[in-house]
Amino acid sequence: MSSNSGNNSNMPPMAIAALARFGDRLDDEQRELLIKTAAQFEEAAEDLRKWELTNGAEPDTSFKAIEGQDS
Amino acid sequence: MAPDPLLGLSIGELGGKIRSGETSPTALARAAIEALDSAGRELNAVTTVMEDRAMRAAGRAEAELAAGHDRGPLHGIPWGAKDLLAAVGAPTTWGATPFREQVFDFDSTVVKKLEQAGAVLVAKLAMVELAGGMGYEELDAAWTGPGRNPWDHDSWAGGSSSGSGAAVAARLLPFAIGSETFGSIVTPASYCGISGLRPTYGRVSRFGAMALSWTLDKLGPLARSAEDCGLVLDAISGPDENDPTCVTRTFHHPAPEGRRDGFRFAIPADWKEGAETGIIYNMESSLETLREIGTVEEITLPDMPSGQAARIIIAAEGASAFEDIIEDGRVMQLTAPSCRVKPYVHSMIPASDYLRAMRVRRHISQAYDRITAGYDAIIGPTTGNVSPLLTRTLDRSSRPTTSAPIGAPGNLAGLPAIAVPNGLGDRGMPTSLQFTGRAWTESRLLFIASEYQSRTEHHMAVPSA
Repeated sequence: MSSNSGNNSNMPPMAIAALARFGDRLDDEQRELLIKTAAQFEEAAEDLRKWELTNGAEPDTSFKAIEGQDS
Repeated sequence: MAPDPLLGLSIGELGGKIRSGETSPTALARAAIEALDSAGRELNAVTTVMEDRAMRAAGRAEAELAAGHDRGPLHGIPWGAKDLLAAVGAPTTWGATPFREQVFDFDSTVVKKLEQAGAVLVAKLAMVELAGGMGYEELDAAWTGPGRNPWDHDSWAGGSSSGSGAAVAARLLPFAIGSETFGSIVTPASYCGISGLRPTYGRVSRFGAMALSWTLDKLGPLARSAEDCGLVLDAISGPDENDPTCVTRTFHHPAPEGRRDGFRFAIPADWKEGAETGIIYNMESSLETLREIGTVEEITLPDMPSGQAARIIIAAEGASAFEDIIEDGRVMQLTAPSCRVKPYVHSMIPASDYLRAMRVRRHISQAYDRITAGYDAIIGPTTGNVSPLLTRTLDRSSRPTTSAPIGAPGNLAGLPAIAVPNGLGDRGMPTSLQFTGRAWTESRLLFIASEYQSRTEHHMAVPSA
């Protein structure tokens, strides 16, 4: 039985999305690993959500506009 | 056939022998080619031996020296590149079957800079497929087969710079370039018993190197000693208009003579947690040595979700970098069964999760800047275990490897670190001591590590396998 053919209610949302898109490429064992992996990422994301961030806390990226000529 | 013993010498010693006429760049290149083609293949450390390019470069180096044109300490020294660096004359496979035929018609900046320094590129070295970014659990995750450790061929060389670590440790090359997104220089250095330097993020141009995680990828040397790592970093660092993350700060090695003692070291209070007995024993011995040149203070590192943030950032950026092979299904050609599945999850990480990780990352970077500002180095075992047997896996539930507690925040914050051997542990395998410093303090870390190596002989140990 394929893992994405049954009840998805307990499945991590990332697993549901990944299976919907790529599930036909995977066998049962691979689907199990996919679900387990998705659960680990959900857990990591949950841990991060516990870390308090203010509205002004910017991501650690350094976007800057390309320095061109003044118009 | 045993490798030429000359290949086991340091860069400085080899340079002396080249200039005294005891050996030559062509003789060294020939010796390295033969060693890599035999012992290197047995270790699965090699993807391509670049004989034509190497012999041409060695001939040039020799002619220049004869004409009185000396390019410096790396002139005529053979080296190997992790197979994620573009170089004319060989495929650049990224360790992965879908890219086995990939050829670039240009040299990466690091390859160019080393050529300008007179070093002789002799081989592309094996690596974990796609630098491990697809979440490998199997230790044979490369089209070249499992990276074997020169100290015990049934043990792992570490990843993802497996070939770089093994080739240097086996005395097939004086130095190699590896890359680190999350432990990929310091781990093979630790497992293989050599010195490995992870530079500050932005210190070395990554132009022409495979991108796994744009905000975490670093390139750095693996070599016989801290001194040799410094010589290589001097050659490869510096600004590059092709890499916008590369800074204009300069680095010179050796740095002007600084203090030789009075250093302040900090060690995480929980450093023994999960570490093997041999690791603890050797670290305690290292602490005694370090107390000869400074003080050691126990500190408690802040409880921050560094590992979780790193995991999400690497997976999300990696899924973007390799979106093409995820979408068209070529990930199914990867060697490790786990790498054929996990990228599908990585590609579903919500943007909000990635951005949250990047927002938390800023807090982590600021916290670790404050911590490292108070000390010359944060120290500890590089890994809590010696190299695992190749029969093991990296499954999270039975993980046979542990990294330093500062590994995740150190990489997230882009901090430099150097790993140096500090003895032998379980199964007679190497153990390692790591120094992590504030951003841009490579000179100080190298000086401290060199002081340590001047008082110990662990970096001189030769694999017996």
